[in-house]
Amino acid sequence: MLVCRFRKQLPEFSLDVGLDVGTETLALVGRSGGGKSTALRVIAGLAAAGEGTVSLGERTLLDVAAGTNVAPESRRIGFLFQQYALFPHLTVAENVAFGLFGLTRSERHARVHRGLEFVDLRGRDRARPDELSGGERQRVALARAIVTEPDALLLDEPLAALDVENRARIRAELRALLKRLAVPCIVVSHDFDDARVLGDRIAAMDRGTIAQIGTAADLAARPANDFVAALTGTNVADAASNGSASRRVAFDPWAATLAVAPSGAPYEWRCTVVDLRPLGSQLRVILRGTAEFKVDVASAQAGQSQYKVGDQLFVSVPADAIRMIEDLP
Amino acid sequence: MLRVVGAIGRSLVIAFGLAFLFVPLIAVFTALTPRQAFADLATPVAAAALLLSVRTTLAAMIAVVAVGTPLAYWLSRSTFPGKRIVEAAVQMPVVAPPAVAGVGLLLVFGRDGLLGPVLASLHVSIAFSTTAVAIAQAFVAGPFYVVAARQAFDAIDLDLIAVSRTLGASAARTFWKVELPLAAPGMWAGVALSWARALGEFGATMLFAGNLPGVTQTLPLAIYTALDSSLDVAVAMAALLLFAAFALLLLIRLLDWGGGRTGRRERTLDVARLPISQTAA
Repeated sequence: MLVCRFRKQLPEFSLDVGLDVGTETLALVGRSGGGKSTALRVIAGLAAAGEGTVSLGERTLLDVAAGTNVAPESRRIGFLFQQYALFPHLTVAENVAFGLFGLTRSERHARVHRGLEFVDLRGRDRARPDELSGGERQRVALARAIVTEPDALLLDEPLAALDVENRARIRAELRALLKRLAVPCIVVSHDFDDARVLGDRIAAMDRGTIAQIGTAADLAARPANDFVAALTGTNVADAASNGSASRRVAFDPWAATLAVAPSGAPYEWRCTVVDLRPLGSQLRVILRGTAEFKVDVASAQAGQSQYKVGDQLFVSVPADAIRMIEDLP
Repeated sequence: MLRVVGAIGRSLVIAFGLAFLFVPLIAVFTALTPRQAFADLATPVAAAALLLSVRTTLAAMIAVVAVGTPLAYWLSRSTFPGKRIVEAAVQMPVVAPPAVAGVGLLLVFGRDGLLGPVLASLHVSIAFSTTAVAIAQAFVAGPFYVVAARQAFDAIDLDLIAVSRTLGASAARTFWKVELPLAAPGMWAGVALSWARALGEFGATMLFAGNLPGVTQTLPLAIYTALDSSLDVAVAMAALLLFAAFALLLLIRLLDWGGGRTGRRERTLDVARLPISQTAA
């Protein structure tokens, strides 16, 4: 169990982290520059915190008040960097063996072999890092981190340096590898889709603060605030219908329909089309009214440019597709 | 028409510039046949000067690397108020005229200098000794190495250092296993550059160490002395010095090429460029 409770002042906002990670993968997701990477660095001992504690199992790694601050080399926490940080002067095998000192030669060799086997990179042990593809580099970095048998693993944007065409495949492979590893893992990502695939649970972080923690389905179904809603691609708007007090509601892009004239339905907003994005058989219509809306319509229905930018339309949602947002922070 | 005249004019200026830079150096090589040059170098004075140059520059380079490497590392990794001033101070000997360096060294290490009483009580006399030659060389050549080594340390991706720590390596182990190997090509280029500067040292040596054959007379001083008696011997020694400088330049370029493979090409190019233009001063 990796338990983190700490605070750190950053130039523009304060980083405030409270995370309990069991034997699972927690995806820490949020916009770039939101403090996610800094949080990982504090946990690994690569950056200082203003106050708080970090503990891993029975061991206290950081306790600012008590003056405890275990050096990164003694924390037994593996770290996968965004650009993988492979040592350019060493071969693949030497990179993987880097953390294996104080062992006999045969034990070292066996562990390197097992590490490369684990990430399915047999036969590449003599290659130099600059001869590898992005996916191979990631696997070497992963093998290098796990052969030292860390008690936890932190991954900073592990998919950001990959080509688009390989991303989905490598993402699925990475998920499987993390599952087999069976230690607390934190994966940082700016992409909700990556977080959804990699994480058993997701923590959404906005400007240093964790807005919501839950499964991907939880976050999409009941976003705690606009930030989480935007992250998950859910629509959030004020529903000021029936003269009652305005309520924040959420609905999925595929639950709404578009019409030229108002239907009088309880959940309806008058909007202007600002963008049209084809998504396979669907067309995603982006509209702006009292809030920004995303509405998916079938391409057939969209027909020959049925909608165009600047059109005035009504977004209406059936009441059973509406979710109330209860607690706004 | 005007354009053609302009183009011809420009070409002439460039050709003149190149000739001005190269012809004197080529003349040194073509003035003597190799056989004659070797014969001239076999004289006792030339041989002694050559041996002294090798000994003193070797000692100077060892001192420069031993002191300059920690200094370069500290400059690269630490931040503190007034760092720019320290950086400027480190580069001062590069721009200071060698004669000024000689006077300055005398004011510190001379009999009446700052350290004079201390050295006298230890029965050590530095000025006008072989030690003074090495000190003068280290003083003028050291900054070239420090600047190069510092840039080599600067060029290392800090993630590599961080990942080494998370893999269980202490800061010291990280230095030996990651930082030093990655900085090595840049450091060697710095050594070559610094060595070339030390070999050519003339002004500061003349003032601080004098021109005693066998004791403080290095090759450049021997050339100066030989000009009075035998132009041929002077030319032969000049050719030898030029050959050594050329070999060092070649080494820098080779290291530069090697550095490109580890993704640090631009940095090492800087190292090689900056001080070469300044050595001429």
